[in-house]
Amino acid sequence: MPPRKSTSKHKLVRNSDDDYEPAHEGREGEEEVGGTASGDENSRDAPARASTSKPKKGKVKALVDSEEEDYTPPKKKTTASKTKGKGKAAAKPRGNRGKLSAFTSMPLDVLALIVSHLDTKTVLACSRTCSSFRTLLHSSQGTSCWKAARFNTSRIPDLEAGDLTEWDYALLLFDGNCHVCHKPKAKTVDFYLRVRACAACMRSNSLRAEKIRGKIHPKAFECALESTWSPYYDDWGLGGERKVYTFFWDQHVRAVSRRLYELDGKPGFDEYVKERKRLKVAAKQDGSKLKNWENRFAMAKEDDAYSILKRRQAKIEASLIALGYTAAEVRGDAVRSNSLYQAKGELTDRAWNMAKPKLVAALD
Amino acid sequence: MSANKVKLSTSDQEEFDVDRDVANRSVLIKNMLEDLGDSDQAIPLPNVSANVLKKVLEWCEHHKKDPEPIAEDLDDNRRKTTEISDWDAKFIQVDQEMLFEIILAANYLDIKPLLDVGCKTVANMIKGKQPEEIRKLFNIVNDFTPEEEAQIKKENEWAEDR
Repeated sequence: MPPRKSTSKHKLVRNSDDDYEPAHEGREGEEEVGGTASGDENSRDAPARASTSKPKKGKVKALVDSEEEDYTPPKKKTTASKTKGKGKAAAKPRGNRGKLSAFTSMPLDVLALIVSHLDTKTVLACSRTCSSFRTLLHSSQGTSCWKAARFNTSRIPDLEAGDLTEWDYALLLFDGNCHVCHKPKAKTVDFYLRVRACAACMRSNSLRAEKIRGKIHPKAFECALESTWSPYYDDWGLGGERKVYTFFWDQHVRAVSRRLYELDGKPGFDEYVKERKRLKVAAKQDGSKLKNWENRFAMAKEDDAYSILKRRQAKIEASLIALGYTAAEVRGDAVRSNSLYQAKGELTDRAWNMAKPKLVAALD
Repeated sequence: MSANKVKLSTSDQEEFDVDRDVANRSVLIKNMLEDLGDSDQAIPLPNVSANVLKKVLEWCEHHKKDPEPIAEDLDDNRRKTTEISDWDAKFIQVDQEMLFEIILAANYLDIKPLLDVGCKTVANMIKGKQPEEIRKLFNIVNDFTPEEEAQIKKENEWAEDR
């Protein structure tokens, strides 16, 4: 099994935003059905689901896991004022009762408006805070939230295939858990097979056709999603043929095969094959779009990090000058080589108060 | 009462005399004024308290000369930027309770640009945070049942339809 490209290592290639297409209103309806019924209408998938949901070993601790279990009741004033940063009114005491979740008692319209300013990853986080968020994001109103969030996240493209709900789409891109063993921080995503897995699970589940064992329906491979991989080093460009290896997701091929056997000789077989083939073509296009998006997104992240760093440095310089240091001193090595000057993240007023004595000490 | 002044009455029975072009920033009030014609009667705002209305009027006063947004353009532009003007950013530096009150008032009074400022501010507070951090930030109670928790943990499990 050849190595797969991991999401953590990007080859940065400037891509135009051309492949972003504005939302197709027509598809919204379909996605809503998928979202609200959470796959219930896909009763054809039932056997596949049943067989894939094997019990997990207790050792596997998912990312979400720790978040949910470490939950402690909110400490009211301290946390609110801490995270708010600039809140000068933070010290003002507030009553506990009735105001505890002013946020979630917002009208849904307003909540949806807030969410539409977020990026997909944060919307996913919101969906895991409490049931009112979850309900909102599962509703038809939620679909437009997810769409807006995709737009805000370096324009995550609309998919041609149309069989993924917005929710599943977000999970594929931003839930870091392995789809198979649920270990967190599974970095390898195959946009063509639409799977995320840790290296080990990717190796054992993404297979070439001949490695998939058992009785597989003869049409299964024409109907199943595929991904290709080519070595980078061969004689490509020197007149030789470039080798292309095709891979399938083991469970997916089996599920499709099972369905094909069920339908074989019955009405609906041809329609199923036709639809699967359409999905296969569409998913391939989607895979390429997502590759482009991945580059765009990585670049946007770098740009963001860079501008945050510049803002931080400008703020440190300005604050030190305000303290009476000269520009020459401030721009000197004592400050520039300081790790606080190079640190990541926005310099909040609070962070500045912590950093100030250290920088002043370095200057004196 | 002068034709250029409007009287507003809050939920806690305070009355405000406001310039008409300031009050007109609220689509709700504007429509009411058009329906009422010239009248000396105070417009009741049963959903807004005096301290919130004061704050909202401060915003309206500063933005009274803003051009009307073009209705259809709004949608796309709104999503493109999470940036807030300097004045608005300072204006919205209030405690969380007031922030939510302003948002609710802007929603009720139908002052879209102010509603947007409020929503963007909240969005900026949440951005990049984990579920637990968001809960802490807004005192959201984790009301998931154990079954739902389990479902969330497994929600990205491989399924045929993805």
